[in-house]
Amino acid sequence: LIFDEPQQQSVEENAFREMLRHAQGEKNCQIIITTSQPALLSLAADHATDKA
Amino acid sequence: MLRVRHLLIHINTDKGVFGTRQNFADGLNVVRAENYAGKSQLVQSIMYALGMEGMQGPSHAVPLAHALTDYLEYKENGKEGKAKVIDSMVSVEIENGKKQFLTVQRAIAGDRNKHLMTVYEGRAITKKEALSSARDYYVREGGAATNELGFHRRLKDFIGWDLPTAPRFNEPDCPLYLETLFPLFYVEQKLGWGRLPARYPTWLGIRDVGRRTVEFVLGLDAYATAIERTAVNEEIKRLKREWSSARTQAERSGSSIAGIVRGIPVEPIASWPPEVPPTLSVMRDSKWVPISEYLNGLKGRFTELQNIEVPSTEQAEPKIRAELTKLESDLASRERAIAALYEKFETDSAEAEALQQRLDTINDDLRKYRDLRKVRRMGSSDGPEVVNGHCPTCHQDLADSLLDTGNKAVPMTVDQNVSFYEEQIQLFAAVHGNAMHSVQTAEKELRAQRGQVAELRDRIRDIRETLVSASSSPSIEAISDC
Repeated sequence: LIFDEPQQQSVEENAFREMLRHAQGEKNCQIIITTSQPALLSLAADHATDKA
Repeated sequence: MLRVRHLLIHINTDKGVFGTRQNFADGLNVVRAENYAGKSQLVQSIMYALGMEGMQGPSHAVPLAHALTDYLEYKENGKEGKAKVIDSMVSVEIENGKKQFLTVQRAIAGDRNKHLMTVYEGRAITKKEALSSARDYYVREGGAATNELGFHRRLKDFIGWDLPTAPRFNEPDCPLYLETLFPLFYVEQKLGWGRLPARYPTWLGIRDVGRRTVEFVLGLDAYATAIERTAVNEEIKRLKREWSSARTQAERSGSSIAGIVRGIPVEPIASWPPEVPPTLSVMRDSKWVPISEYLNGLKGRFTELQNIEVPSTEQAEPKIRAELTKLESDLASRERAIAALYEKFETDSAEAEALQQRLDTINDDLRKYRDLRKVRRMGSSDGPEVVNGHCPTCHQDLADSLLDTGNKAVPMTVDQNVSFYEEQIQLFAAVHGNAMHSVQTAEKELRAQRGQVAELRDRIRDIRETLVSASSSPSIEAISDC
């Protein structure tokens, strides 16, 4: 599942963060998120790449 | 299941080589970068590498930004520069649920055909373990989802998806194309999931595409629908079998009176009778006569016979002895004819069957060579598997000599092979058509001859009974004729 800048989709912030937390604990899937927001990195410290 | 494991973008410019690499793990992967740093290009490159740009529309243009296709801007030692892209390429390593890997490589810019995909059966970027297994496939061309060298067929097999068949608006049914499924796995920046229905590729002409893809991905009614479809197909097959059986029965009924039934449609029809009604004809004096005409003749003969006095056996003996001799001779001759006809029928049937098997094999070879021609025309240098030293069926190494003969000779080019097989098909189809015609003619003639032999035998039996009966009794032969 690939999300390209999901926070530009007017997502509800709490729901979005909850989805990320859930995704982080789920190893039987693969979710790729691109973002310009540094705050997201802390949620996925293991597999995060900062290209900035 | 499909996981992207590694992405490699290679851009060759007049100012040197640029590009990026990215690893992806299970679970959550976050790629953070400032705006305009190329995040969208990174994920769109993955989609492009998998040949999925068709989900955005029918255009065949490369859906990537100028940095990958035309020019890129860079900074070196604090100085800004602009580099012209000479050629560029994207490669991805992917993994399936069986822990198998595949590496897919596709040109973005440059001379290489953009519909050509080079596939390595393993990790060719991170491990260099499958470099000798490269094979070219194609995308965005007819057959990409169904043919052996179609990349989307290879990809769906790799993922392990058994895609359902989907009805289209104006064309025959097709598999539920991968381009219709991937919008559910790729939430792109501009439209997001909020406008998901607008993102389904309607240009593929699949009816209810949104419903079908969601059903398939979530496994909702897909199974029940598949079962229902199977049941309907079975019912259609049953009706066809019954129709075929009734048709055969009608033909047998016709042959029991040395006749043939013509005009019953091969496939079931909804209303009866058809526009041209079926007919029943019987063979009389080596000609097919409609049954109505034959019946009228019989009725006339019946009227005639009613007015004739039945002769006694004694009176009729000289005449019927002569007729018996003639009938027995006729019977022997017809039985010889039947034996010869049967032999011909058997030979023709065996020949027709052998020709059909040959045609099937040629058609299969032709399909493979057409696929190969397609990727060759796109610039691939792949040869037929047999030329590469692999069995085209089981894909094992194929040693065609005990000695090293150096470069193997290629007797014909792919184009020549395609032309050769096309000519072979035309030739064999014509020969097969003739063989089938001979089989059908022999079969009809055989039935008619057998019917006439049965009639002859009845007549001979009547005459013999007349000859052994009391001389004053009425002639059984004459009565039988009545």
